[in-house]
Amino acid sequence: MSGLGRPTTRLPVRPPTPPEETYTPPAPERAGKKAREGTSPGARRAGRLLGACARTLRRVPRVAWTCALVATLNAACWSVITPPFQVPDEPSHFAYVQLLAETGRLPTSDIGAFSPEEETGLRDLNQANVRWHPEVGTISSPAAKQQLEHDLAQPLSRVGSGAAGVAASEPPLYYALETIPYYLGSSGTLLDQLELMRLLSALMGGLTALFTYLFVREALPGAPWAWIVGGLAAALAPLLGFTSGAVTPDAMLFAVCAGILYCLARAFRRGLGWGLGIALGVLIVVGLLTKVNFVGLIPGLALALVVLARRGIRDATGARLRSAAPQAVAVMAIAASPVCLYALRNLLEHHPMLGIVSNAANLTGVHESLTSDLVYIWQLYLPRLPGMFNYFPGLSTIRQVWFDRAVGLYGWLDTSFPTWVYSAAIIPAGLIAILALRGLWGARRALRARLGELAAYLVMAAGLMALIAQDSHVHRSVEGVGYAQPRYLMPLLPLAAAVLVLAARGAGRRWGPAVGALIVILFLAQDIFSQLLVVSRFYG
Amino acid sequence: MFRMRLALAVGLTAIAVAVGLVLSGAPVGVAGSDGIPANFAVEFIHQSEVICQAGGTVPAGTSAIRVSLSPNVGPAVGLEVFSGPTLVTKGNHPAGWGVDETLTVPVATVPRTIAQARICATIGPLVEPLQVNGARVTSPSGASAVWLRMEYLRPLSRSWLSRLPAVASVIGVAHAPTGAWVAYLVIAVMLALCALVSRVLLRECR
Repeated sequence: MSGLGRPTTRLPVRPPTPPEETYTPPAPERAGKKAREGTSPGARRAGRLLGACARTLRRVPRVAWTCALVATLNAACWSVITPPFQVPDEPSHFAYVQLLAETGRLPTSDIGAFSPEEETGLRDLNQANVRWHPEVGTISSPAAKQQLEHDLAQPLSRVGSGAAGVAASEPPLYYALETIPYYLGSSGTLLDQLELMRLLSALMGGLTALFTYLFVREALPGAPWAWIVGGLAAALAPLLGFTSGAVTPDAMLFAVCAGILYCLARAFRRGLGWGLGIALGVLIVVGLLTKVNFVGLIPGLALALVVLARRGIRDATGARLRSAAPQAVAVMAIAASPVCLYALRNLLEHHPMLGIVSNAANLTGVHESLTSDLVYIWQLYLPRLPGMFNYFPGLSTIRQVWFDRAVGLYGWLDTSFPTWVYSAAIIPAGLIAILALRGLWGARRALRARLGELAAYLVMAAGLMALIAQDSHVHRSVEGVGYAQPRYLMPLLPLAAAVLVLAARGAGRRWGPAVGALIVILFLAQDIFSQLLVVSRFYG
Repeated sequence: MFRMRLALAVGLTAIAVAVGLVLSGAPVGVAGSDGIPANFAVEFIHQSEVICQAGGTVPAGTSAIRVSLSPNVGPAVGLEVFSGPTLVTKGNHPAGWGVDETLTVPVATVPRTIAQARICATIGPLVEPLQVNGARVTSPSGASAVWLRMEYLRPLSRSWLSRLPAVASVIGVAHAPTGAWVAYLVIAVMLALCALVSRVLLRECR
């Protein structure tokens, strides 16, 4: 029997969260009291905090941890097969971490040499000649290897001019975290440090998959069997593995955004309580301190908080609604605090108030009209309408830029499949889209009650896409359409996973699990062949 | 449950067969070129055009031609190879490629070696200026022109499978930790992932 037309609010076939995986009651109070006798208040508070953290972690379903494990191992494999510094901007990100770790200072410029150690490594790895030259593989001769090992063993300076290339304008949080593996590997060579740093990114990839699973579990509670489809497909997505297997703040941005989407889905389902509100506020701060692109999500987040505040929260008995405005205001206050501090510092130092964001706005104001901006943004994602200036002659951006590049484009965007692969990929993608629409249609009654939530997600997606397109428009004379990279949309991965869950549900209860398994296998296949592609390009 | 198991079995078998087919194939290598040096950025193309030039000797078995064009997002490119007035082979690559310093265009396999070939490259509509890495030459008619470097690719003799130990050792060269065992570890981890994913699907997706 088909699942078409069934509302998602019906009672689930299985309990949505098996008891042994969802809630572990806290230890009896008396036992705790006895254990706490004779300890200081500070230690007791720390103990309580640790206990709360442990209880929260125990409440995470085991299957979510499995998704995290799959994503981490997958990203770790990517970190091994991708040659050092053959990921977009990895030399700049490494230079940022090195500068921070060695001097405690942030980059002062985007132009200038990296440290002598990194420059030597890049030279011996033949990095500049391998990048963008698909016909040139990595170094492979014993002589080249010997030279690399010899040079990296020299006591070369790890401090450069203070430049960090394109990474210079990024916030410091990810780079600060990466100093930990950098220090751990400091007794080894630059390559040891790079690999350890990549493994930290891989752990962040695991967090992304974990939160993605938790997101679909909260957002689509009607069919528990389908949650794993979203979780595993996200964990196996090659773009997540490739990006999280490298040194790039994108890895952390994906995890933070997945965490935020999970918190929002939970708040929309259960109400915005104080705990969730504070967690959301802190995650937004972390996002703002991770990568500038996060700013694109702010309008959607603001809308979500307005909807949540208006919706209110039920009291302990579940009967009476009270306002959630205080919690929403608290989230906004926590989230705005670093921005206010940043703006204040810039004003005191006579810099543009919002730093790089102000610069981008000024660039736009000088060179382009609002209409041309909007037309460009539209065409970067959608077909041109009659009367619009054609920014992309001979190019279908949705198909030949976004879709093809999401199917597979690795290295410095120089490693692609044969063209027939992209054509063939349209078939499963089309089938998934049809099934997802069918799933959406089946859930239309539940959807009506959740329009506010859906609008918030859509505005988040639109905001991020507009930010990317705007940046692309401003810099198009230099970068062309180089900003059109699907990895910039990966913060929306949990929403894509929800589409896959809907597709599995769209196949109906009878065929759904089989279709769901095929969707996961499809992503596994894409991942395996993407890795083979990278191996053939760099080592073949 | 039966359908799920069947889907899983079919899917995993399909992956195994496809991997086998890929590994039994051979990589392509350079069999010849037009002899033009790929000087960096000798010219930028700003609109659609057709570049016809001497192609030297195109070896038999050529299945792809690598041309020295460089964009961020490239246009559609078509190639036609002539022997005198006769079209010997052709191929095209859709728009959207890059970022690259070269483009490999698949062509129908050339049945026999073509001496003094003539090759025409048709450049489609451009989103951005297209950088040409080639050489400025004076054509027989005396006009100045920019010619592309073209390399003729055909499958090599040994399959990917037979190259596996060599590829594994290269993976371990410029990496930490070093050694071919790293490549085999990746294979083992990916196999373990396949097993783990199957197990979780069987347990949860029903």
